[in-house]
Amino acid sequence: MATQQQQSAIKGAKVLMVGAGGIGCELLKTLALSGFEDIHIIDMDTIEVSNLNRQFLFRRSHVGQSKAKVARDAVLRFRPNINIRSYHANVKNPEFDVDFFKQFDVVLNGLDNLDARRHVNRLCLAADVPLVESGTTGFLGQVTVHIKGKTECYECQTKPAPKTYPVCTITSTPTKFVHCIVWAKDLLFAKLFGDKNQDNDLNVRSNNSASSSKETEDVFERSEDEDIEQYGRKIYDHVFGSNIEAALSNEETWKNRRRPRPIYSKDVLPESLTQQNGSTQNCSVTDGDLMVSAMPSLGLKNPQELWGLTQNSLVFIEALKLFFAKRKKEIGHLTFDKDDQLAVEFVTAAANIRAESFGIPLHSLFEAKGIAGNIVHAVATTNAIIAGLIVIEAIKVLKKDVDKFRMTYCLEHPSKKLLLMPIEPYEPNPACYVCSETPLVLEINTRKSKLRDLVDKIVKTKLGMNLPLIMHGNSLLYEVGDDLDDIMVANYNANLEKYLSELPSPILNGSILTVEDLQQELSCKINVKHREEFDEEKEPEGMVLSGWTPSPATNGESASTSNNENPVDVTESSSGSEPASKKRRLSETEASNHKKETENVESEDDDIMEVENPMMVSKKKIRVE
Amino acid sequence: MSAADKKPLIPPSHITIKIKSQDDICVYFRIKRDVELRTMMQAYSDKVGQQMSAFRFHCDGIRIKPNQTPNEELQLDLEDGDEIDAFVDQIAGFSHRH
Repeated sequence: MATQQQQSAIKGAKVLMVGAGGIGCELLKTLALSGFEDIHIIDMDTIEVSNLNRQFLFRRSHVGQSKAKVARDAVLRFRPNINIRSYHANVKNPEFDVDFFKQFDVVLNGLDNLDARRHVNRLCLAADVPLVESGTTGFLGQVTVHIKGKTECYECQTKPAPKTYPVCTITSTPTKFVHCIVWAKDLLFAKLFGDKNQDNDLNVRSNNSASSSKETEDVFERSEDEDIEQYGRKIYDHVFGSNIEAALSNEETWKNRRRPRPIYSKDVLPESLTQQNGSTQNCSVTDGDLMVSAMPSLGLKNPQELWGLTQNSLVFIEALKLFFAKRKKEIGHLTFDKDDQLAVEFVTAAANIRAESFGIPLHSLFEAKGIAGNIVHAVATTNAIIAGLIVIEAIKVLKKDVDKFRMTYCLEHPSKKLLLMPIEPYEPNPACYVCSETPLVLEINTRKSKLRDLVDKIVKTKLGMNLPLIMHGNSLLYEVGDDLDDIMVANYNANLEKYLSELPSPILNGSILTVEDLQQELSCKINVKHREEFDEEKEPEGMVLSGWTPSPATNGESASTSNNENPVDVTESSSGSEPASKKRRLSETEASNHKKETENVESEDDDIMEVENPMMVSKKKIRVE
Repeated sequence: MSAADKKPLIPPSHITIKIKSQDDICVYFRIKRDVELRTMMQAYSDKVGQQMSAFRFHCDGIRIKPNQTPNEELQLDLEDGDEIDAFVDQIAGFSHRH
């Protein structure tokens, strides 16, 4: 039971909830049942059918309505005497300014994206209002507490980057199904249906390809009168046949790899398909419908069924035909969307054909969709646990129990018998550009980058600014806002297209820029360093922003360099929770192998090395440079 | 017996540490007792393909800082076979598991 003191802290509190989704529904319910009486809730989304399995305040009849409003109504039914105010709006809207945030005792986040989280973090810092932040993925999740000056802010800690793959793994040497999915989705699909002006690494660059690159470009061009099926087969033969053969000619690549098998449509498909299915004629859907599907006409019903090479090839051709027949207007500006049935079918089929070629196990449409959409199924229980933890921290914040604040991480398997791991909040990160005044460093080619690149790739994407303003010395280079006159807007737009070194106030090596967001009340300095060349693969943006995360090597240089010189053995296992005593039940031969490997790299001089799991000895050995 | 056939392989100057992610992927390191843990954290981060600053490393709930060494008796006192948790912040809506 709550103590008297706790009761009064809760009763008198005015709290803002941002997000009324998976965590938000649980949170609003728990807040109301814990005695909170003044709750404001912002959410821009409307209810979708797919929310209903875990967002328990919503029913089927609510689909299409505002999440914030329906959540409010649902909770008021069992707590009729409390005050809940809902806002069906984007938290980044200007009406939610610093003054708006100042009226609250604590802000509770249940958001689903980084962008909005960073925005709320900045407003909380500017308004000096405590923030309890949360997030979940499947069984994992965490609750963190952020109080200006006392603990780290949300942006002191780097967030994990989405997994990326080396380009050559995707274009030439896939070894896992996910590589085939990435190829089908980000390269082939984008090439055929996306923006033609986007760079695309789809084609294998053979050694003597000065002339052939022109030819291969033409393969993807479809002339007006070209039969769609013929076109589809041409694409098929190009990407699964001749492209693979071109790759095979690069002997060096295949020395230690399994050689892929080129696949041509004539070997897999009958001469003509049109007789067997007249789907493009008798399909009566409207243009642009996300429900267009190639499956019914091919007699495929079950998305969990595994298709063979022939079925995948039929789906490939049929889906491609349907895109041209039914959704022609969208071609040229489509991006892959996991809720686009035809896109998922096309990507599944293409990935499977490629997988077949490279000897990788095939997957069903359902599985492929999950991989392509990066879907980790949400777990309602995780959301409920996290919401409970948010309320616990919120109460500590209201009671100003600073010493008792905890960040809590939710694990998938117990660690030391704990599934919830409480840790003490971190102190503010002195290198954080948001809550401390640390300048950033931007390496960029000032002669080849335009102001637009800087605004899009750095100021908006990396710094997460909503309404940015860029100053160089006393000269205002760029600004966004409603109150600008036409001349200024034209001026700023002209600046966007100029190279940095050619701006009215040229940005050169050593320039210091001031970048501000008036709504977020955030201002930071950027020191510009001119650099000519960037590594296309490692630095695809053509610029590098640093200083916004703590540099990994501020001291202890010697230790980290010596690591680089040492060969490192790598293994991983997902069953590491066995007690140490069981770890060495190895067969005789494995044990001796292990010993040998270990001895190879073992020496008193090695500061650190990665080693085999003492329990699971595999021979997999990767050299880390 | 397990201890007997294993021990000679580890020089007394080193310890073996297991780093475990929230979804139970484990990576093992052998590290010298007087070397900063930054090296191990960096090697782990490189392997997993994330920036080191995206992780929070903890042992029994106690924070591990990059400039500490396993020997640091005041706070850490890591021993051979100890397990370190590596936490990352989840951002509902996308995953990094594939």
